[in-house]
Amino acid sequence: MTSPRTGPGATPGHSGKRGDRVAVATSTKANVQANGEAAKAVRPRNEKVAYLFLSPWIFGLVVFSLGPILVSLYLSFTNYNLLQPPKWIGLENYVHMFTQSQLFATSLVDTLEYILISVPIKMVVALAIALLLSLEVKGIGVYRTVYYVPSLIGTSVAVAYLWQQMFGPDGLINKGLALVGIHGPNWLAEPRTALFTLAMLQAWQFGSAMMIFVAGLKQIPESLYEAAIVDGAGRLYRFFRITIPMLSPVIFFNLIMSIINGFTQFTQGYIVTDGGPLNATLFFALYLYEEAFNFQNMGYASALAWFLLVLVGVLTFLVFRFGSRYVYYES
Amino acid sequence: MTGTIRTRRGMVLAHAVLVIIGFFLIYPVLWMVFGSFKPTNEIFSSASFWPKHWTFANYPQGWNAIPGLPFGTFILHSLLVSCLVSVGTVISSAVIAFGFARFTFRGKSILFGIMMITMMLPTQVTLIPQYAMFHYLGWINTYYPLIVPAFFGSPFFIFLIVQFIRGLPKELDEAAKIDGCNAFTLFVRVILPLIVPALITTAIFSFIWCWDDFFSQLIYLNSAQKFTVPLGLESLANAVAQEEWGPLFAMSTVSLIPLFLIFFFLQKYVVRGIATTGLRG
Amino acid sequence: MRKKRWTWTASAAAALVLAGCGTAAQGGSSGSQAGQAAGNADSKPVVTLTFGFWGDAKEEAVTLAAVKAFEKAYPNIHIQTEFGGPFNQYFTKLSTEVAGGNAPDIMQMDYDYIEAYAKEGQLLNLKGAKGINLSTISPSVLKSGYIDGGLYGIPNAIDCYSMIYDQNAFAKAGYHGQRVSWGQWAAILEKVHKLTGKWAEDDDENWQTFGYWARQQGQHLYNASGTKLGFAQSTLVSYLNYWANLRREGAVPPGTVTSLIKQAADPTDPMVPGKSLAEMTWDAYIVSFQSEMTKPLGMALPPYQPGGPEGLYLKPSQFWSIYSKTKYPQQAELFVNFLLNNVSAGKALGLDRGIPVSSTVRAALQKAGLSRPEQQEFTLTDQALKVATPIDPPPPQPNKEIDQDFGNMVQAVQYGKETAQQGAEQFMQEANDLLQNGGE
Repeated sequence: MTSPRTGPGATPGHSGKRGDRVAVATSTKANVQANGEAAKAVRPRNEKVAYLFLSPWIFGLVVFSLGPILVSLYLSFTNYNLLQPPKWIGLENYVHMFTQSQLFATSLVDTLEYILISVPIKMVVALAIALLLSLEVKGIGVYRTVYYVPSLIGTSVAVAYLWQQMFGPDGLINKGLALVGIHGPNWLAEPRTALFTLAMLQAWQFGSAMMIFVAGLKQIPESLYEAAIVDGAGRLYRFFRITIPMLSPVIFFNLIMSIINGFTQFTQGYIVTDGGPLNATLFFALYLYEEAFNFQNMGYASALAWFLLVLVGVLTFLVFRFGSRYVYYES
Repeated sequence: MTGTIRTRRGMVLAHAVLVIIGFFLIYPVLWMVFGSFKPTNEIFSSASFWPKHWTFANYPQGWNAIPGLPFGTFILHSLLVSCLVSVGTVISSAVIAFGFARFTFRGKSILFGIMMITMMLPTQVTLIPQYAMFHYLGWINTYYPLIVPAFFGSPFFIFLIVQFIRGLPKELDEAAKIDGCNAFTLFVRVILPLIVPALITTAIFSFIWCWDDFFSQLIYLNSAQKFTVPLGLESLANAVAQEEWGPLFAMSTVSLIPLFLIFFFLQKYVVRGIATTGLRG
Repeated sequence: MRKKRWTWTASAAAALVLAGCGTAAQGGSSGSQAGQAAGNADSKPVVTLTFGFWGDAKEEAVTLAAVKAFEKAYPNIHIQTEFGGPFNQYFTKLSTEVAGGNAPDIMQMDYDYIEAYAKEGQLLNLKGAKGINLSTISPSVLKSGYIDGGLYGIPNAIDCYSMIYDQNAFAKAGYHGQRVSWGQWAAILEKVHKLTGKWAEDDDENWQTFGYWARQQGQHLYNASGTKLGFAQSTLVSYLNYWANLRREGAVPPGTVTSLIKQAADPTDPMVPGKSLAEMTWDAYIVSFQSEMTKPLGMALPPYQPGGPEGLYLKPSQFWSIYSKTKYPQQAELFVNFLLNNVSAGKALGLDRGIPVSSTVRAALQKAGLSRPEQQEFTLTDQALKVATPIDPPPPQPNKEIDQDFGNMVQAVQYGKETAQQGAEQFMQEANDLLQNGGE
């Protein structure tokens, strides 16, 4: 993927101009290290500087996140109903999860299916629209804003009701299908289609992914395309050999985040379908929420959370591993 | 991708495609916005989004639905919280992302892994210990639990900015060092201007997500005097469906306006890529 | 020092309130005068109490109005309200607060949760509380607030099961609101369905209405100690089949419609747009239904079981409870008493949470005049009070989970994935397991 001809380093004149700009920006400082070797020599000091940059995050982690995260790990080994102090029960929660709970498996399958449907659709739609919105036509800012609107409204009660209307037996979708002679199902009420409908809701709110793509697209130096056109490259060639590789860090980011987001998805199942029908939209996080707060099994819910953490962690690690072969970073 | 359209026909075609797709995308939102101008009994009886009988009564009714607390109060609170969160997130996440993207040091991949992990744990299980902590700090029923953590970086945006910085040529750094930049000047003078799109993206998203974040606001804010927009809407929404739908739609529409404006005015900086920041090759 | 003095003043005020209640019928209002007097005598220290409650927008507004009336009567006590949103959200928030040791001083409590909260020591025992006049509450209603001999919640309003129906449509089938047996009711529903082509009733199967059904067979949802289910499998099967038959006839909607109903009287409820014509639900809903529908609604006692015991009961729609860790128990009692007995508070709160339990408030509301659905609610409650039998004790802790399992099972039967027999058997097995393991 990282063929040398797509790398900006291969484009003549590139680094020279960059150098100029920096030189202008920093010309007042003339007396510091003069070359790359000096920079290498200060590596150990570099490490301190790195930690300096990371210090706000490390501080925040220790103060705000680490404690609660470790507490939840501890709680996963206890029986805790929120009213009484937690009672240590060892691995019982985990044993129950794997051997006795039907809903555990159901919710996991629902979630995986949801991710497999919604993530690819959302990614493709977001990228396609991002390409469309990088057209240079008048009023493109208005279009961009309009296309982002579905993502502005979040998932509220009003959205839930809207969705029920749209996908109801006599809703807009079925009216549209009727025009082409298809008798549409009662989308949200049929176990077979309910999950798909929620996946569409997720894909409909593609705005964030789209904007990140837009920002990424604009980051690609125009010179690459110009050079390619000079070489006689066609549109498809430019798309697959320049756009995709240059965009790969952003694609990678959107992919990882959609997967994590899919696994922790809660609101849609909670507000639109309440996990039904027949538990077809019982997302893992929704199941976890019900255990935690409706049934007050916080210990068990914590165990569920840690299972999810390990599962998503491993998956993300694999994607990172696998992805790093295809993701093109400047270096 | 070069998005220049040369012919007039191409231009018309582009507009037509954009308008048609856009209309379908926002149809449900239009239904809500125009629903706010319908009498409540018309909202659910008609699938058409265009009101048969126009009414503006939903707006004053929704605005004043909670005695003594006009809806504008909630908007002001949300603006305050979201602005601070947005500023805090942009500054801290950029600094931290630079640390991850441009340095090699021991334990880097472990730290990065930990950061990713903090995003994977469902909030429901860290909620209780977190609440206990904020209670200990005396922060319940204040905006601090919503705002302060934003100043210590948000993993989503750190990761986002890292990806953008890693897309910048490394020779930049070398060149900057030759020109006498240290890490700080490299960050401020070279990297920051080049990742403006990512920073603006961060600003927009953190603002909007904070604005829409219902759950933590519900947990940490208690008194109606401190309520934010989602809590104000909730007060309207969960009516055992009195005649509240019209006012709810009206206030939902009102609460979209600030988000809409912010997005509209900032989005152009997202697309003002390196084309205008000096790297145009 | 300062705090101590205030406590003394407060208990003096509380004593005055009690004296006022004892001598005059208009308990709350004379109490407020006493409070004002005490307040004027020492106007320096202001105590802030926190007050958590759930509800919808209207309930929030009326509650805030009642709080305002209290603050006016007791200028030394400031009530900081914590509106928790709808039921589930409120309890999510409340359990978070309780776990963090920071629950509101006064909290709205539900029958399904009160036992757990009381047993874990989160609620103050109000037995013998001097600040609250309980003489206005009928003893059988007050009983619901007792757990293991302690009084942990003061019921503030009562709800009762009712059949809310479209008067004109049912009149055509010859039904005018008399109480009928389940068998007669099914025949009426089928007739209404044939005459109108609509669903005659929503499919009102749920854990609570099944509880009503079981009580009519002399059985209960749980056994007395809450360690096992308290009904026979055949009882559940007969209940499921009753509804399955109506579904087959088209008298109630299919599962695909029922599964999308979020809440009674909500736009997702087919009763609201007139697609179905009756619903068995808590009586307080008639006010919401009627506010959204133009057709006149009738209200009747739900069907009975010929030859069986009376299953009807009055349920406290909620309690006012006081946090065991409150710093100001006396003031909290004053507030609870005000919400319960004060006429201006009662008028502010209205009937949104059900019929008030306080006889003082009830009389005042009736005197002030009621709307038609409110009058219907009163009439039904009066009828119910004559026949109702005592409510079951608060359910054991896994009740929420069992309730949900029941809903899942009913849905599976409605969708035809399971037969009534299979569903009942599997559900009872699981529920009994839960009860034995104490939840999880």
